[in-house]
Amino acid sequence: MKVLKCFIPFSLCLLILTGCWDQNELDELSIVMGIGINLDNKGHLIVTYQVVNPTTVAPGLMGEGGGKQPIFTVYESKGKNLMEATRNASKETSRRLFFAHARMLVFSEKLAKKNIYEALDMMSRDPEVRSTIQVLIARNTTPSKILRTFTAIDKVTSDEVTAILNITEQNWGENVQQDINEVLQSIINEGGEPLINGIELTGDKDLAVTSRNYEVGEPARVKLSGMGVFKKGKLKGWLDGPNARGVLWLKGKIKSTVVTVPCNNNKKGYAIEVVRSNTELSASTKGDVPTIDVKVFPETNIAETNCSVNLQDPSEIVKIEKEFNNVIQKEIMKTVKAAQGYNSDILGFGELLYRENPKKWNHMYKKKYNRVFPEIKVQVKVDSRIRRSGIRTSPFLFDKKIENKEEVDSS
Amino acid sequence: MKSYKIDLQQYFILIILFELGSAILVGLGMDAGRDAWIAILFGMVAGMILFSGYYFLYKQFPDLSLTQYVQVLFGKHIGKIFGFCYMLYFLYLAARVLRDFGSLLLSAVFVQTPIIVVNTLMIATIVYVLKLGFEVLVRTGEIFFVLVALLGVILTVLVLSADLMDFNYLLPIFGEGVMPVLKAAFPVTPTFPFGEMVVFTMLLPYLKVKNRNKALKIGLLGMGVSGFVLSTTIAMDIAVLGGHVATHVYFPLLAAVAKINIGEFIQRLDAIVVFTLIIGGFFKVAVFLYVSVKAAQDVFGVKEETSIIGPIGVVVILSSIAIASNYVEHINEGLNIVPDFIHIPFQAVLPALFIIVFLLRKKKLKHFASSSSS
Repeated sequence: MKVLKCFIPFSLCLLILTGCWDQNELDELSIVMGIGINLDNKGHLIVTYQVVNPTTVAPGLMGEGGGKQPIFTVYESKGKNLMEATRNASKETSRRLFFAHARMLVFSEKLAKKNIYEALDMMSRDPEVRSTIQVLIARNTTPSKILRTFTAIDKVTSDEVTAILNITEQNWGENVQQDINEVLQSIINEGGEPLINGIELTGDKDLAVTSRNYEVGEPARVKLSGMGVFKKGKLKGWLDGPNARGVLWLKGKIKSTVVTVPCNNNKKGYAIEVVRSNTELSASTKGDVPTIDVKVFPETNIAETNCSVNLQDPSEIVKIEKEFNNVIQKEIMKTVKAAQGYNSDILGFGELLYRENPKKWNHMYKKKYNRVFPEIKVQVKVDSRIRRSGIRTSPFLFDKKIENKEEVDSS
Repeated sequence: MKSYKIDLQQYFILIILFELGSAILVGLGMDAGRDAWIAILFGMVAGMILFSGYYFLYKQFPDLSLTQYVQVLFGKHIGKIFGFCYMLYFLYLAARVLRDFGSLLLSAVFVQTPIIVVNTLMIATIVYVLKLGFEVLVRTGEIFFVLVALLGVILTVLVLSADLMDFNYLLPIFGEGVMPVLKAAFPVTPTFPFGEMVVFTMLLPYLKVKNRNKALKIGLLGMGVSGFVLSTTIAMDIAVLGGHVATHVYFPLLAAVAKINIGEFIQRLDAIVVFTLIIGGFFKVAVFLYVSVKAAQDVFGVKEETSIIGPIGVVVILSSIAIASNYVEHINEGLNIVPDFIHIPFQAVLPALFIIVFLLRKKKLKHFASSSSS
């Protein structure tokens, strides 16, 4: 009797404690790593999903046997909006698409040029999609091609791209990680516009989609390429090279980079490695046209010297610092000019003005920001410090008294 | 009444868990945008004033709970009507918090699960704990408190070390002037969660006799600490997510913590937040439920409180489903209707009335109080 008395409540517990509704069995899920969104001619969305094949990512699980299987596969579906397309994809997927591990969201240039807003809501509303998902734009190619490209090191393209983003942000600084929250916030910021990384395909593009891609000598690769400038949700153009880096200087997001500084007449001069950098922004809102002061404080090392100078002489270091300051200042000014040319406040100036003087922003600048932004005066001051010069003192060129100048000039 | 008494430490923990409960997860004072954290501090100060009022009443009737002393103040019949209203108020709040908890859990984690299942499981646990007595709830609280505090510290350290915060998101302070912040603060933040301290008018008599003098001090300290924690949490949410995202998600803390990614290794910590949500929700609903059981006991003269915990639990489950037809309606009621028409009367107007009546009838009542306690 006592056993029975225990047994009944326990079996009743079984009824309710099994969690039948939201169970997610691993073998019933297709883990989506990347999502691509394109636009077809009718204006419907074409959505591409890159799904990993778990047996090949963790081969130990299933044993090494069996034939060669693709590491990931790609599904494509259409719909009037994102959610419709997602559910529509179930007609061809054998498992439920699971978004919690999605790492990148790629828009096509076509969609970006038309309107990026409509694709962003679902991604930030769906509880399954993590807000760490990176947003990119496929440049001169389609999201579908990017997601189909086989890569060599990280086998899944989406993993590779997010890793590249991380590495290049830390070493070169022309791209900056932009997750979906940051994109949304930059749209909402006072007068703000988003700036989204571009990604392109290089190499033999026909080879990209075959698994032979990473076995051959000159494979197709995914490569980050500039940052897209938006205006009212539409892609207006691209910032490339130093222009893109200028944005990171302005926002104080440079972690490390290399800047080439001329010496005398030698354009190849020095390679200055930035170790860390700090940016201070302040705005003066006295007149009709605001002025923004940018102060950049980079800390640097000399990483390469191609001219014959005495690096043991402190005054020489001061000279290089000055030259370096000049280069950075020009770089930042060029970026500001470019942004003002697009009339798109990707630099966060509106937010800065609002922070500095909320009343004036609300009453004066906000309504006619279209006219104010291109007029904003920007003053850049760079105050750099060169700390070290690697493990060598003066370059060997200096000891041998070789003047490297003519050679390089003539080349 | 069982004579279980709580000491100051338990009282303090009870306040912290109750105040933080669900409030730490939902965006408080978010109408104030990036000044939300200031709105919370305003609310805290106003809540402290309310609490001093409750303490004044408690001081006059140290052995009686609110539903008991209204019967002394107004006589048995009118007093019972007031008591009945308070019972309904506590019941409604229990249902509200349960609905908050269920809806948020559903929209964040269990998308397909019916809400009644989640709510029923919660109430079943609470009823079980309360049947074992108030003592068990308080001691459960002590264990939970250590857990919550530990998780809170860990999460804060992780957010700090993940370098996610951009303090520029918090500037300018008072960008739109002080008025919008005050508007966002009043009447919502003083009433939720600080004014909800009104439940302690029912619980203060449980304090050990020797600790009674410190009831106000520790109460205000508890509110201060929880106000500070709430305010810094919201400020952290905004600094991590930015003003827009933080004010436009139901779960700012969940969204902020989800962004932690240290070395591709320590990441996806949202589960910890859901864990705290469950603890906080459990504790808050349990306190409201227990208080309404006590109120019902006083009003209807029930001898054994354990006999009505189960039925009242069922009432709370059903009303948590019935009070709103969808989540938007529920939140809208909570922000626009409940503070003005329910919280303020029960948290401020009626207690003020009780104080006035007490002061008017002081002499008569003193006689009663001394005779009843002897």
